[in-house]
Amino acid sequence: MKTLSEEHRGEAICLLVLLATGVALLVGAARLPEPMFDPLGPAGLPRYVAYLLLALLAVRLAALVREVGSDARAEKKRDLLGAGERGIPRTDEVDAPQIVTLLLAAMITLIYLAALTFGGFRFTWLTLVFLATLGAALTDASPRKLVTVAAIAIFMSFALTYTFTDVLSVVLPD
Amino acid sequence: MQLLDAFVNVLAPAPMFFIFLGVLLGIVVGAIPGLGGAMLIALLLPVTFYMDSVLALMLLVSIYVGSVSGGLITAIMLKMPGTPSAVMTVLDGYPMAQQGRAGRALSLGIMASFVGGLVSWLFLALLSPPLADFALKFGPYELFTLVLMALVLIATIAEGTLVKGLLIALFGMAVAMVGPDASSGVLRLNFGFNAISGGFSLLPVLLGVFVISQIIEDVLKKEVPIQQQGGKLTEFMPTAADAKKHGPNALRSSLIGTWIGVLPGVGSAIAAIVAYTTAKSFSKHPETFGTGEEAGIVAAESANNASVNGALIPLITLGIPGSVIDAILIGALVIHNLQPGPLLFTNSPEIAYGVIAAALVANFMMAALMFAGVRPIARIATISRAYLFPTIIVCCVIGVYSLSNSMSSVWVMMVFGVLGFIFRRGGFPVGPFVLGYILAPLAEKELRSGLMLYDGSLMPLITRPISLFFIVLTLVLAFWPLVQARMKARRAA
Repeated sequence: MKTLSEEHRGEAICLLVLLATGVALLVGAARLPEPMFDPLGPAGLPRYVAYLLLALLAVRLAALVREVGSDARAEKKRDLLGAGERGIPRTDEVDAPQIVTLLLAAMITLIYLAALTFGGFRFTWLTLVFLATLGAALTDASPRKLVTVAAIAIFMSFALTYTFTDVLSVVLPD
Repeated sequence: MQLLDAFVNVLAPAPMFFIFLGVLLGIVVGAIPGLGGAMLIALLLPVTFYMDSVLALMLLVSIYVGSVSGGLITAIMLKMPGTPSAVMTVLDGYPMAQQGRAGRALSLGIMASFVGGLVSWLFLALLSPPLADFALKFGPYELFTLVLMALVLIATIAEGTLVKGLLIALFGMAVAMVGPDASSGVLRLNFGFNAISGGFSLLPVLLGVFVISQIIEDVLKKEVPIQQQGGKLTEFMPTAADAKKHGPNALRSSLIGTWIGVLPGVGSAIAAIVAYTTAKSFSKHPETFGTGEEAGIVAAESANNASVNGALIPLITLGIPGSVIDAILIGALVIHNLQPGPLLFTNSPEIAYGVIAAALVANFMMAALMFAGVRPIARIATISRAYLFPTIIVCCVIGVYSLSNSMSSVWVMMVFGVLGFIFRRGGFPVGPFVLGYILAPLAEKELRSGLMLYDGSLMPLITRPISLFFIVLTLVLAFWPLVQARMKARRAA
């Protein structure tokens, strides 16, 4: 079950990202030249967006501080008409094994992208390995599912390569 | 006359094939919980680079029509709304399926979807050309205030608080401002990084925020084995008595859906909710809603489908997206070097009328495909994510790479995927982000054009009646939730 602190922590991280964005906009706008063709110039909108962003950020931060420690938001509205209460299954709960699966999936994806970036591998084979390993990481590792994952990996890696290179004439990262 | 020509063109084999393909794919992704029309359309954008513009738009619009409809299959048979717009269909659809009336629920849902699409299409076909003519009279300040109103409305309606919606929309605007300034050519906000000097392209941002972040979110959730409601699909074909019984409700809900679709950023889920609530309040037996009431399914499905064509009205007449999918469709127009907005009817009538004609044909095809393929589509929806997600990621990588033949765009997509995930977990809706990203350049262009036109004066914003109207409407929309909350609190006290 998602706890209150988890939810607040998530929002606090978002607010930090937005704060960094607001500051970056102000710093970036300060480095831009004065208006040449119109009164606003290239720095105008970034500056006004930054002001608005920081002002709203302050409002949201104040609300967040008020909310922290209170139980009021424990079951904050999940969907538009309390669908959870009406028996629609909840699927947003996070288990520890799911975090492990996510980290594994992220690692496999990063290795795949790094291999594509640095080159030296054939796209088809690299994709085959990626599809097979990521598929296996996302299954419950039952033999039947692993065989299906392998079959899909073999079929899709060749089918995608053929479709994009021979049919659509797209250059693939080889 | 031009609409008639468009129909003649649409009925040729190639457009019919792409409409069929789009509707089929749309229904399938609409039926699969976690996927959706926005994801598929974003995913297919790179494929459309290599297609004729008219065919590409027809394909994407057909996906839109199919995806909103597909959600009802899993909502009724699996108790899983494939799309948010089908959330109200679950309430009465699944109880009907449990009572052994799945066929009846599906039949009513499909017919209601068809009626919703048909009614709203009439508005799309009849209103769009005159509205586009009227919009041609808009000056830069009128367009600027219209965009402003759209942004505020999007943030107001989005899930979560108004402030969160506005914050994420502003973040989207900030992302859109990176790169060369359209008026002066000055490089903005790249902080010395050459990799982002050209700005963030639409495709990596869209695929990251919608597809990658959704995959991360779904991987983090436990996969629930889905049980299909068994039994024979009896009472599957609607009768004339159904038309008499549910006709007024379907018509009323279609009008509600069309109107809500026209409002920027509101979307089909809200349309379904409002229509469902209205149907309940009009009903002589409101207590039966939520227990397998046929009128509930009719209201929800006719409204959510009607909102699709409703949302296409501001898209093709004003260049203002009515929903997130519409924002992606605007991106598709831009990718194909087309100018969204009133000039579309003048400069590219084959696109504007082609979209209108395709929307109607797609609606007919949707009904036919849904009646023919309910069982297999419901089975596809139970496919494990282990088989789907890796292939989707590879498609994203290929699509984004093909944009610039560079892996840096792929990394940009991944960064936006992670950002999208962070915002989703923080309770921020990602819809306003995309709309802010799409609308920011338009807002800036129109504001600066207005300033140049009126010697730097902002006064015309309030002296010109249309822009004043939009400003007043924006203020009302922004402050109405606050006034409403205060009134509620006072009444409670």
